[in-house]
Parts: sequence; structure tokens; C-alpha cells
Amino acid sequence: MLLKCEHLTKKLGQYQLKDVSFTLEKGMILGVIGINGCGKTTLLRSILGSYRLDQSPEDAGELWIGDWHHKTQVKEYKGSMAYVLQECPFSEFMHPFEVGEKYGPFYQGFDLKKFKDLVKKYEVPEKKMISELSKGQVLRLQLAFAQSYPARLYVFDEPVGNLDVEFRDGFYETVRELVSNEESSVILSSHLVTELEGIADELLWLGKKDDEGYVRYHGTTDELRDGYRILSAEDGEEAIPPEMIRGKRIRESHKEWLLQATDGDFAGRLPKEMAGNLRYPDLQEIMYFVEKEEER
Amino acid sequence: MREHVRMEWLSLKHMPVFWLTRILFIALVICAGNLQGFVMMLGCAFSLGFVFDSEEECILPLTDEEMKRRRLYRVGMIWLRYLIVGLIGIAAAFLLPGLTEFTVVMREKRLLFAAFFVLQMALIYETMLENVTKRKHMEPYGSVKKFAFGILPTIVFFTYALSGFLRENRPFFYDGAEWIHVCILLVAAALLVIYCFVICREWKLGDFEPSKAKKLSGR
Repeated sequence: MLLKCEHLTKKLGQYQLKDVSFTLEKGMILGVIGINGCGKTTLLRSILGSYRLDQSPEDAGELWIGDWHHKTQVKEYKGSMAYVLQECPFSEFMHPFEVGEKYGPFYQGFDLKKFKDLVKKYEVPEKKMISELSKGQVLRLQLAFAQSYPARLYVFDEPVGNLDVEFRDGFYETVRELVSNEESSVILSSHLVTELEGIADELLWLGKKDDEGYVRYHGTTDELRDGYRILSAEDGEEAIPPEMIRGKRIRESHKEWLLQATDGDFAGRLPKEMAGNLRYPDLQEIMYFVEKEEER
Repeated sequence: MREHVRMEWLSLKHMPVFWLTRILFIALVICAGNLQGFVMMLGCAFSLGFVFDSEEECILPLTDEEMKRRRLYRVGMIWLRYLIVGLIGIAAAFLLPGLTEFTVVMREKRLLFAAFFVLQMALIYETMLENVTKRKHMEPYGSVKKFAFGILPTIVFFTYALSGFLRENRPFFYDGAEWIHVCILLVAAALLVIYCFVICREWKLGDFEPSKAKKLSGR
């Protein structure tokens, strides 16, 4: 096991991310999904340490990377992570190379030459200040920094939103390479659920109720999809067992229902003529139906 | 020190307009007469951006103690800048005859002025320290303690800083013996120094604040 998160609770103003527990094995990519404001960034910032778990009476939780605890072995714990964040974490008044020169020495095994080569490879303008770089260029700079030392856990918070399609493909390739040694793992949050579905081995789906974020699902993508089906029909909702219905969408020509059955037996519970109209949903559809139903 | 000098050099290289503003600020401090202290406090308030951390600073693999030392060091470096600016202001006031009425006060009551300067520098440090320690995250000190150690010295400072302005031609420190005023100023400075120690002792590192960092990241 590489990362262990136990009962993480973080309160920020009125909002609270409550009781998040999960583990992540070596060599795995964990996708963090959820609607806006559900606590994806709060979770990642808590893991990274920029949000601390001792600021309010409600704050709690224990984190480990390998055997390193986030409070008692801070240097080892923090030093074993690399990250790419939505907002630029570096001072805006530095040049790209200076990021490596200033912050690199804090990380064991940081290779300045490799960092500079990657900055060039990713076509980040060397002579501009960070404040003058585009969002995509800042993300590439962060990626170059993250790849310049041997980290055990890579934390990527919405990294692809500002990247062009071409670089995005390369980014996913890089993520796969990072875990290919079976020693490191990746946590990747994104709104682009369909793309995440293709790369994540596991999913952590955060839900939000009132002002509270919580874990709605943690497991593999396939397990999640196996528990759901989409049923398309012109009508006949009364024939569907109500406890199976997790959401409904009305199209121009027909209706669609998201059905859930933990044992996977969908056809057996529906009339024969309906069972033929079942299909697997994709991740985005599951999210859409479930979150929409929750809103109601 | 090397890191701080490097950052200063970078800001000079890339933000000459900002440095021009700084030079204008020094000129303002020198020419501010009786309001010199007030102007310096204003400059201090604008400079608080220096002590806000980027997110990277919060994520760095450092222990809490190392992180505190790093921030205190940065506060110290900025405080040093104000000390230098203040000394330049004093030197200029002494060397340029008849610049302001303040010069006359400085020459006539040197001891009182020195005590005022000590209080001013203590207040600047305390203001920055309060900011960098994000006091709101700490256990409350209790209103009496806060008033006695934090607010009272600030009131003393502003009373003296503005007295010439409020009572033109006859600042109130001309009333009574000089040593009484010197004692009041030094006691106020001492209270602030004690307060700084209390803040440091009870300092608990806080969350990274993205909105503040963004707003105040200017050098």
C-alpha cells in the first residue's frame, strides 16, 4: 500500500469534507471525480499539506505514504510527493529555471539538468516570468518540476483543463509512464470524466449534500459500471421496481432511467420486453443521473 | 540573506516601476515631516504581501519549526528594509538643513526621537508578525492581554506620530520632562516586543489561503 487516508475531515468556513477514508496501492492511478464544490481540491490540498488537519475542532484524519506519517515524519512524507495544481503554486515573479534552482534542492534526488531539459521540451518560454505565462505553460512547467525527482505519489489537481488536445494526449502518456515502475502512484482529479475513465484504475467519487462533501464511491471503474444500467423505453415506469431507479432523463422520443442493482441482476427484475433495452452506462452518464437525482 | 538579495534583484530587473514607487516612498518618508511615522506604517501595510506564502512554500518538505523559521526570516528581512529606509530618512533630515519642522524636533529632542524610532520599528515588526502568523487561527489571548500588549502601544505610537499634526507648532511632547515621554515610548516598545514573543510562542501554522496569496503576491 502506498497511500492511506483515514477519516480525513476538513472544515473550510461553512463547507466540510467529512470522513474520507481510502487506500491506494502502488502502481495505481486513482481518479477523483465529483461536481464543483464537492471537495476534490480540498482533499488533494489536505494530502499535500497546504491545508492542515488541525485548524478547527472538526478537522481530523491521518495520512501515510508508505510508513511515513504526515505529522511525525513530515519531511519524508512531503518530500515523497510531486504535484501539478490548478493554480500556480510558485511565486509569479520567478523565471521557469529559477523554480528548479530555488525549490529543487528541497527534494531528494532533484535533477536540475533534467528539469531544464523538460522545460525546453515542453516549450515553456525560459525568459518570461511565471506571471507572463499562459495557464497551459504554467501547467507544463509544474509537470517538468514534478518529473525531475523520484516521487512516490504524484498529485494532479485538474491538470488537463487548460492543456491543448495534443499535449493532453502526451500528458496521459506521461501519467502512465510515472506508474509503470510499479513503485509510484498517481491521484488525478478532473472534470473530464470520460478521459479519466480511460486512464484511472480506481475512482474516488465525492458527493455533496448541503455543505458537506463525502465519499460516494471508491473502487474500480468497472465495478462501478457493473452496478448500473441504462434502460431506454417510451414509457412503462410502473413496471420498473422503484428501488432500482437512481435517475431519470426525458428525451424527445423516449425516456431513460438509470438503474442500480448491487447483485448485477437487472434483466431478471424487469419485464422481458424491457430487458432488451438495457445497456451499460458510461461514467459521465452515471454521474449525471445520480447527481441530478440528488439535486432533486 | 542570499535568497532575499536574489529576489530583490529579480524584482528590480523585472519590475522597475515598482522600484520607482519604492524610491518615491523613501522620498515621501523623508519629506513627511511630523507624519513620517504614519507614512512608514502605511508603507508597511502595503508591503504585507511579502510575507504571504505561495502554495509551494506551504508544501515544501519542511517541519513546522523549519517553516516558521523560514517565515520569520522573511519578516526579518523586510523589517530590515524598513529600518534602512527609516535610517536614510533620519540621516536626510539631519543632513538637509531646514527641510521640515520635524528636523527641528529631531535636533532638539534627540533622545525622545530615538525612543520614538524604536517604538516605530517594534510596531512595524509586530504588524508583519501578526500577519504572517495568521493570528486568527491561534487561541485567543483574551481581550485584556491583547489591549495591554498590542493595542495600547499602537495608540501611544499614533498619538506621538500625529501630535505635531494635531497641535500645530506645539506638539504635546514639549509639555513635561523629556524623560517621561522617553519612558512612555520605551515601555510601549517593550510591551510590543513581549507581545511578539507571545505571538511566536503560541504560533500555530495555518492553512494556505489561496485568495490572499493571489491578491497580495506582488513584490
